[in-house]
Amino acid sequence: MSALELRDLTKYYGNDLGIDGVSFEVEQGETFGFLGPNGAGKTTTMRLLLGLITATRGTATILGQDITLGPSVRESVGYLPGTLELYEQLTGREFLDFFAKLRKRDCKKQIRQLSDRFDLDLSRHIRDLSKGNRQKLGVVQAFMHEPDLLLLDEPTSGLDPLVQRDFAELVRETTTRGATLLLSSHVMSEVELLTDRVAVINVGKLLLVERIVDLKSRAVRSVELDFDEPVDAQLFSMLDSVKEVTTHRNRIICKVSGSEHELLRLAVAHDVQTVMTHEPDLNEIFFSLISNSSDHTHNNQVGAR
Amino acid sequence: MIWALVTKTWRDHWKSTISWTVGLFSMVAIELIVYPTIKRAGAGMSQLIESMPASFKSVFRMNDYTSGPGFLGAELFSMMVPLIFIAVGAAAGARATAEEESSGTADILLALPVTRAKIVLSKTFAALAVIFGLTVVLILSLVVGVRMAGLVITNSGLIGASIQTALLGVLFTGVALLIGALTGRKSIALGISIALSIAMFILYSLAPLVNSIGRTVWLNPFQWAIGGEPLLTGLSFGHTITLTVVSAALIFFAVLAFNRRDISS
Repeated sequence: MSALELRDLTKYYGNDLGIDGVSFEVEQGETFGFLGPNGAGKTTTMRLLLGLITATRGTATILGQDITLGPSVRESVGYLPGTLELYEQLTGREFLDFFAKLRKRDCKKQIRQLSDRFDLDLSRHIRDLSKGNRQKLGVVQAFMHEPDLLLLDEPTSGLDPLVQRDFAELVRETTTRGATLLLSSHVMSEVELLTDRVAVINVGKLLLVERIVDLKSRAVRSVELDFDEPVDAQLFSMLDSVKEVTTHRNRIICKVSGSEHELLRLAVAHDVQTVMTHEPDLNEIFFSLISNSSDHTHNNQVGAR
Repeated sequence: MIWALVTKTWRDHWKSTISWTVGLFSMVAIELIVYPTIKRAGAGMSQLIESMPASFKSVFRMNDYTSGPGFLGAELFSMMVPLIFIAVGAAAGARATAEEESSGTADILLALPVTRAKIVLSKTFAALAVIFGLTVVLILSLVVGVRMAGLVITNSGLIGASIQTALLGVLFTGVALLIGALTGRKSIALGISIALSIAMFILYSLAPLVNSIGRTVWLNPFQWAIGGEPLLTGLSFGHTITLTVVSAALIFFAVLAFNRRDISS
């Protein structure tokens, strides 16, 4: 059973497109990234899954249950909305207790642990909290009942880098206990850091679903080879995996995609001294996907969410 | 019923609830303090009112102004008390279905494993309980105050008029609930409900003067609430049932509409 399964999920707001024919599956225990520019349809997809809006077409299941079955489907789901609005007049503690009661769960222990971990003062009124502290409260609210599935819409927005690190730690722990996470973002580096697999969406359409590892091996990255004496660059540019070669004294810099096997063999044959491989820039893949798809569809009017 | 939600709804608005209660009580008190003076003026007052145009008197229900039921009918139940109940009810109704969508908290609330029907009905229950509380305060202050001021008026008249007026508030709670569930906008739900109640009030007031309006007044909720002179005759069974059934229907359709609603973000 998959934790999440979307089939042809489609939402139109009147004539405006939200998402169109989105299908993918997320396995249990997986951390799945949902990547796209603002207004691509990430939020629409999550809100459909939660029953906040109803699909124009298509179906989806959460932990094997159809999302139209009613509220019981959401019992083991945690949600952090992209635009987080809270009850200003309550204190943090009152808000979390209120939600625990509505969930009919005793979350006291987890509330204490999570708020300690994020250094969150629960006695303050929400109206007095900074954006970062509100976001922390949203995170606590989403995780406090130890859900099996977490839908997190741009969870790190408003969090400072230190807290982002704590959050990443929480995500890893949550995966370790077997929960599934769907995490949306418009930043590739965040998704790359936190997730196993990623779906890229733009203008309401799914462009790609792939493992981060595969994406990386496909991505163009640069390999720097230092030799004792000048080497003929031509030899390297003849390799299939090498896209581009530049030389700088005794150094050869190759832009590579796919396996580095051939390249390294050739380099060793020429007595390479040091090899330096740079992390692939997945952003380039993301940007080219987005700009290609936008070119095709830029005439369509698209709803913001 | 979700108690946590009911108590939160009360807590969020306890200040305005207290103000309305104090306002209602003070209004009753002031009118009853003034009454002995008006009664003492007796003949003179009657003459003054007699000299007013007949249409003016009928619009403000001022016939028999110096009698107990006539005085309370004109001063409290013809406009002020109904308006308080309508304001309290419509505001609570608009909040119940539209406030959280307007403010954005609906996203986290409705993502919880709770049916939307339970959420709306809990908030509606909280609103009805406030209206019930106001009704009790109204009845008690009237029953005690009338004795102290020496008005000749039966308890059943006071209770009947109060309950029917309170039900008018419940009915407009239902109107605001429904408009809120259809639009998701609190200001629109409240605005339309209040505008509608004022239109109904004007039509009801003009009913004695304009024949065409008079013929349709039986459809007017104000007629159901205060049209049958409940201060004299006590609770009207038919009017009470009508008010209750129409209110229940409005609440029912509001829940249906809220269930089907796409919550805007």
